[in-house]
Amino acid sequence: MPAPILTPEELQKATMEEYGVTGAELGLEPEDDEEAELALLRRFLFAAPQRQLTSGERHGLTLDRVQRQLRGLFTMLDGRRVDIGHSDPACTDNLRIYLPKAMPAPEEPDDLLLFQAAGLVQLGFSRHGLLVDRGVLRELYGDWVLRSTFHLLAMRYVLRLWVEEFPGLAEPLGRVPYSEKGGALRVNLTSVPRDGLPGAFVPLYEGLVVCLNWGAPGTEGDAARQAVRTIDQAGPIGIAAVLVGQAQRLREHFRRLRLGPPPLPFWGGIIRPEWILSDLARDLAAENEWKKGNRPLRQLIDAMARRGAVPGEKPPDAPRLSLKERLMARLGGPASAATGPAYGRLRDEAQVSAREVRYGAAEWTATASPATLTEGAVSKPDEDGGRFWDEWDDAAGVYRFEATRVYTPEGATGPLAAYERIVEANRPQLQQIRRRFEALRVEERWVGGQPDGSEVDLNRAILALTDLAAGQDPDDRLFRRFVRRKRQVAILTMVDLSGSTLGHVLHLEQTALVLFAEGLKTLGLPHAFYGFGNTHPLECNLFRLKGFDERYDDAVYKRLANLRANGATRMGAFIRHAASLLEVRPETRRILIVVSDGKPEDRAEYRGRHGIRDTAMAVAEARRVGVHVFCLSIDPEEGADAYLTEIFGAGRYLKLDDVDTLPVRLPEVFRELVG
Amino acid sequence: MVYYRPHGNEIAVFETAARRRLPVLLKGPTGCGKTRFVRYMAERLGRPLITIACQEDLAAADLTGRFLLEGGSTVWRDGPLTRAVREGAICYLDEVVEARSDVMTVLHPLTDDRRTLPLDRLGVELTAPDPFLVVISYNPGYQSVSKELKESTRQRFVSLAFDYPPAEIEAEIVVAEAGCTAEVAAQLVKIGRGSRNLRSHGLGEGASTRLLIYAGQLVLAGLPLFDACEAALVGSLTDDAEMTKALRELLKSVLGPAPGR
Repeated sequence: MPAPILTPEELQKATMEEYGVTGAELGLEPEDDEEAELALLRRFLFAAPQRQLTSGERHGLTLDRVQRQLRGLFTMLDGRRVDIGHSDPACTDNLRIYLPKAMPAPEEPDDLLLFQAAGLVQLGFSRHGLLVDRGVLRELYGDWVLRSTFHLLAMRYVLRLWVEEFPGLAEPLGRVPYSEKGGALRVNLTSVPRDGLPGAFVPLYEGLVVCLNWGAPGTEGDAARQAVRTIDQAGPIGIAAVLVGQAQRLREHFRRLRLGPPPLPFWGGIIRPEWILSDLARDLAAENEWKKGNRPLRQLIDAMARRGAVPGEKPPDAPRLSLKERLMARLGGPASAATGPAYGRLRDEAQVSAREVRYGAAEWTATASPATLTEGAVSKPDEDGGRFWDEWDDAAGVYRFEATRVYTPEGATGPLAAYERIVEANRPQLQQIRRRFEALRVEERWVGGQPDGSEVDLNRAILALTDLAAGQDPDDRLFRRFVRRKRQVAILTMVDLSGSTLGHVLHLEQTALVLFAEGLKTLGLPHAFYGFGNTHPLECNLFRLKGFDERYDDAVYKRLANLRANGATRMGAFIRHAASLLEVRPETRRILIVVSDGKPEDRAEYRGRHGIRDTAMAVAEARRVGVHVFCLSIDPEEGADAYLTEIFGAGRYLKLDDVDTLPVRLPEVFRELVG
Repeated sequence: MVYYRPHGNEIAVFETAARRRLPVLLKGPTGCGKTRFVRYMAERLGRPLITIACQEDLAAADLTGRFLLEGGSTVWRDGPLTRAVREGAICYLDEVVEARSDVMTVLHPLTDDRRTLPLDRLGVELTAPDPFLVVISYNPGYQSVSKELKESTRQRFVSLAFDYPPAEIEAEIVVAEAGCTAEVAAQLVKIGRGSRNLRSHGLGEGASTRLLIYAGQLVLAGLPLFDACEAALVGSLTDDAEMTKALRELLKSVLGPAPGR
């Protein structure tokens, strides 16, 4: 059954809805080109689609089968890390490229080539900055004819540059126009016939689409021919403006001929200015908010106060800081003695407010210490008394006395089926992990200098003879033996359960933990799993998923497969506590693996340098007591390497660019560490 | 003279360190020219070079020396390190983190102001002459926790960070070393640099300059360029089927399709 035919207006609306924004939100004018619409409808949209390219169940090559390969190729060609998302038609938002989930049925050998070609077009748009200028994007957004014309010219331009840089691409890219799938013409998702294309359009498709039934374009095609020639000779300077200029000229020409937008070849994808504009609009809005001062912060404080203000919990005489006092505190001036925290300066209004409301302002006195913090003041999820940890203040060069408190409550629980589902869904990977871990079970090596053994230790025998000859007593340990002994390794894995992991990352962490746990079960090494997240410096929760002395049972399985995200990442405290759990282990090698999705950050002053330096100090402290700390980071930020190196040291972390590989990489990292 | 194409201030730094008798640490990815650089500097400074490839069974005694039996009597045989100290040579320990930890202990008194080598079995302590220099190298990539360079060792060295040279210089090196044409070298370098974009995005390491030279040599020996690249670059970089395909696509993008395929 053919898909419903949409007018350009409806198509735009559908696109906007898909991305969750409206034209009004972006401040863009609605489309007013009625004449072009009419021409479009007359020429194309009343024709029945020849072929529905997204055909439901039947399809050609799927993206997931070649996604890694494509990402590898695009990254090698472009030099930047290239991420691939899903969209049909293909497009880009300048951050990643989006390709269709599948090629149209039937599967053909050239399907991979089509994915490559479509990806190169979109990658070229972002590589050469064709879709960056806000003014250009606004024009393209408001005019469907201009957008399509610009698209065809831009496609020519980026393909030419790809071929100039990588001459080997000329042959495969030259094959694409001859492919039935690649050369199919579409207006958004709707296929339109290749035959009957107006002569005015034909020169635009040279090298992009081939149709034997097109006649000579005649004089109608002169304008397009000229534009094509201009673009074929254009250099990189101001190219976006040149493309728009040429597209505008053509647009006027098409208007005179009462033509609508030229359809686009399937492999060219689509340009979605609204995707990029909406990001720009959000950035702009955030920037404007920021310029207005600390209003968002005040809103946050108010929101927190509203949420936490339970009658009776807040002491009636709790002093509330005035705005002036809060400002003085932030600027490092004399804080109110009655409300200053134990470690003095640099505190955050949000934090003060939250504490005042949730725990009572009395806790935040200058003498805050275990003695003054009554058990009743901080409600705990279990009987765990918590443990205080100092925190390193790099700016002041001192430890803040007992600034954090870590509890180790049991992790959240849920249905056992979640665990079974993960095991079932990842059976092939699991088998591989088990097989690889099996090889780690024992340490095998030759040990020389043994009193008895399967072979003579030649070096020692020679030494003994030389000793004898020199008149000295020889050592009688003259044999070497092949020994297999159980490894002496204890491993604690802790995963980030801060709010930022909610969703996909949490799901991946869950899968990773389950696969890792199944592998470690094979190995029989002492190991523990924890999750971390804090709602307050004095309420850092290191959720126990499986303790060192805990056996695997249903309760453990349930906790491992039902992680819950909440809170922030006061990582220094968590590393200190986890290291203390490892420090008491009798094994000679103790490894702490930290899985995190971002910087160590808390809502309060634990941000930027402070968080990084405290965590780096915690890692150094752990190393001093013989605990090797290794971080597996899934932070998508480009600059993450800088802080990861600072905290963990070069070679002591692994940044996963493809977050989806976490479940497989976590066991691999462990294997590398102990292998 | 050994061929070496400088691409920074490494020669000046090394010469100054050698003049000041300061030990040198070279770090950088595999096949980027660390060993070649040391050979070149040894020749340039006119000092003998003793190279030791470290591996996990290398013990301190293998470096210092041992007594051997010779015709019923014992004879002391110097190890390479002792020989280097006696001769005032440059002693280069390649991939030093692979060696056993007692190797580092032997190196410590040689790499500070004492510059001595105690030989317990002989009951002597050798003092290194001025030209003696310790140079160590390692690849600070992904390591096992048992194979990290300790802080106490690292801080005894002047360090020189190596990386692959810029494209034009690397092409020049490939031409000089492999003897292939500049055009072939440029294509090899383009492939090499492309593969390095995948470092830690799917490949452990990108193609080293050494591999590019191998490929160039295969081409010079008559192998078609595509086949030479496939043999020297694709198979050596990964066993991962998808990354292998991606690398082949990169070859095609740079070289065009392989003839007959």
